Amino acid sequence: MVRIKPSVLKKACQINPLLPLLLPECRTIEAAQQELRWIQNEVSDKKRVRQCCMLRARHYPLQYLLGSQPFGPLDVTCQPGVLIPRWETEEWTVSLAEKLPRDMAFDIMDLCTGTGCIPLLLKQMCPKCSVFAVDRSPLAYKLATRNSNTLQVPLKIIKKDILERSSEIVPRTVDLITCNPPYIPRTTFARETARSVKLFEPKLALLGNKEFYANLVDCWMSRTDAFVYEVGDLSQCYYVLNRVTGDVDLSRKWRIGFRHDSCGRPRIVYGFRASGSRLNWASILVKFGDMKH
Amino acid sequence: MLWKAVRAKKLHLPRILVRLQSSSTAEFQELHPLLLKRAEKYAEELKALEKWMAKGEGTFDVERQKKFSRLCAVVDSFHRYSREIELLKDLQDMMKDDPSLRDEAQQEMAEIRPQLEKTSSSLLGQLLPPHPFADRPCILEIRPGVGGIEAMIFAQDLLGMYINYAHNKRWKYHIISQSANESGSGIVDAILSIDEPGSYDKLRFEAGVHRVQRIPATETKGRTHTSTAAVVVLPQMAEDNEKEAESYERTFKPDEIRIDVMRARGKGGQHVNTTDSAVRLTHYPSGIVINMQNERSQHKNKAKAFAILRARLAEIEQKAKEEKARAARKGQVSTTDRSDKVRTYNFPQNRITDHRCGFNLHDMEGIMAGERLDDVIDAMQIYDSDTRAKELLVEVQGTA
Repeated sequence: MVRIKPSVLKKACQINPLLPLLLPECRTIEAAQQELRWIQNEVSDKKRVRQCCMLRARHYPLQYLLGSQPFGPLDVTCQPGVLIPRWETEEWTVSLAEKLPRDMAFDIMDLCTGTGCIPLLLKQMCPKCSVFAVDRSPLAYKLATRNSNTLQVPLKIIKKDILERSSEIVPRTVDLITCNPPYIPRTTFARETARSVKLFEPKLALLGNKEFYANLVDCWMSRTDAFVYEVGDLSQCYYVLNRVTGDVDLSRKWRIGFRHDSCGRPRIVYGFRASGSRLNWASILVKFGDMKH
Repeated sequence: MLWKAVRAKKLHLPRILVRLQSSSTAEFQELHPLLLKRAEKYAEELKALEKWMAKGEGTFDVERQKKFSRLCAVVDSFHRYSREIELLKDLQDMMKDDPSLRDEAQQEMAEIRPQLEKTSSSLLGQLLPPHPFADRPCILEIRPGVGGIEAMIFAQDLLGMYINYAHNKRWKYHIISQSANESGSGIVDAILSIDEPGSYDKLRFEAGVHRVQRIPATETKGRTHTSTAAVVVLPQMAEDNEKEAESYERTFKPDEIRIDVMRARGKGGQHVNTTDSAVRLTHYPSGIVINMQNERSQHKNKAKAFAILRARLAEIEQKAKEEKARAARKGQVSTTDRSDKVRTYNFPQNRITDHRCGFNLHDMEGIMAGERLDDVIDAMQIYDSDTRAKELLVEVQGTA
């Protein structure tokens, strides 16, 4: 990472002595000023503002300091020990929620739910659906329950490990599965992950590679009509695609597509049954991404 | 023909003299029957509304109350007008019937005439169709013009003035975005949203270039500088409602719109936790570019950018419509175009001058505190309805 020039630090200090503390995370003076404004909006006490800035200087995440992160129209509570919702996730969830039919009742299950941001937004936009959320972390389970209560968006939250005990999870079948699994491989974790994430966000929600996508193909594809999985890079997309095209039966039944985020990075692998599903997923998910199979 | 004559006179004489002159030399110009018919229709409407309200059915409805008060005002003026015009006719008859009373009648007529003129012009003003966005809340965009840091400080002063104005009126407002000058004084731009329905009608005359003449705080030699700041007033088209904003977003073709977000290196997603949520929205057909970064969520920044795009497009459309109507009329009327300098704030003389209506006010403090801004706005409103009334009259006469 490029170092911050002393001249920039000096300039920031002249505007506000707190700004240099925010520069390591924000990088530019404008962004630091913006962030200071957000902190000052949420925290009234001057001493506490200073404390927050000191923590920010040590790369402590802003969302844990302010206690929330906006996610579409919702304000989701954030706590240490649970992954902070990312803007990429917000982007595809909003786009997906807009495509889902509002007047139909169907079942959605979100795996590795964390704060519960994805199921909360989907339920908010499609109130007729039954939405399930699964996470194995007790902290995430607690936080998702709390978010569901405070935002008054009813969810059915299940505390289960989806890799080990997927067969114990009810309901057996749903119409749509969404998931933001941990997707940073252990080998690249140290190199490619930002310091703030490495130091302060739970490894349980970050570290993982193909196992969740293998689990998808092995356990979940038979239980759903459609799925939307977030990915970290293209190899994970192709892993799912190759598993499906490599299997005669799956290849015949399933259609697979990839979607990029607005920075142009591969972000989603999704799929749906070509026929025999309750909802017409081919028309619902049209233009959601690029079809690959 | 008459109009040509009046316009020719207008070139030489201040407006108020033209009016006096026309009333003393020419016969009094009665309002056109078509206009009176419109007033009668309002009276009928009022009666129906009164009846409905007397029954006490339904709940209290702000919209209906507003309509009621507006109708009341129109009908009140209309009644006053009919009373006065009848009196005038009586006097005229009297003059014909009894030559002995001629002198007295003439004297009385001369007395009531200015009053009648006034009533007739105010009725005309009320009969004018209201501005299509009159009931909207508004968005004010303020940017410094020429004058460097002094212009930025003045832009901030203007922002303060509008905030104070909203405060005095007890209107709800919020700052959509504001970027301060890096060296600490003044603003580079600011967008202020005033959420009161109908505030657009009041503030739309604020659009244009505001000029300030004063000794800036940055000046060391005590010279007076002239700087400017530009104000753009837009009608707010959408509520801050998520759903509506989304459906509006979808009305654009994908190739008309481009949305840029912060581009970071690396893999994104779980790898980083960025708080930078800036969004840049480009609308190709109009060339409008909007940057928005005040919200913590990209989604909200996007929604705000779209709200502003919508307001700007609505304004452009309205301007085009007005331009077309004006061209059709072929009358070159002095406009409230925003490319012109609209107002001067002269601090040494403690004077505010509105260049469109020639209104002067000597109370800088009261203006900047937003307390006496209404004086200027009212003067502008009278000027505007006056101009439009004349246009309407020409139009009605043209069609009849």
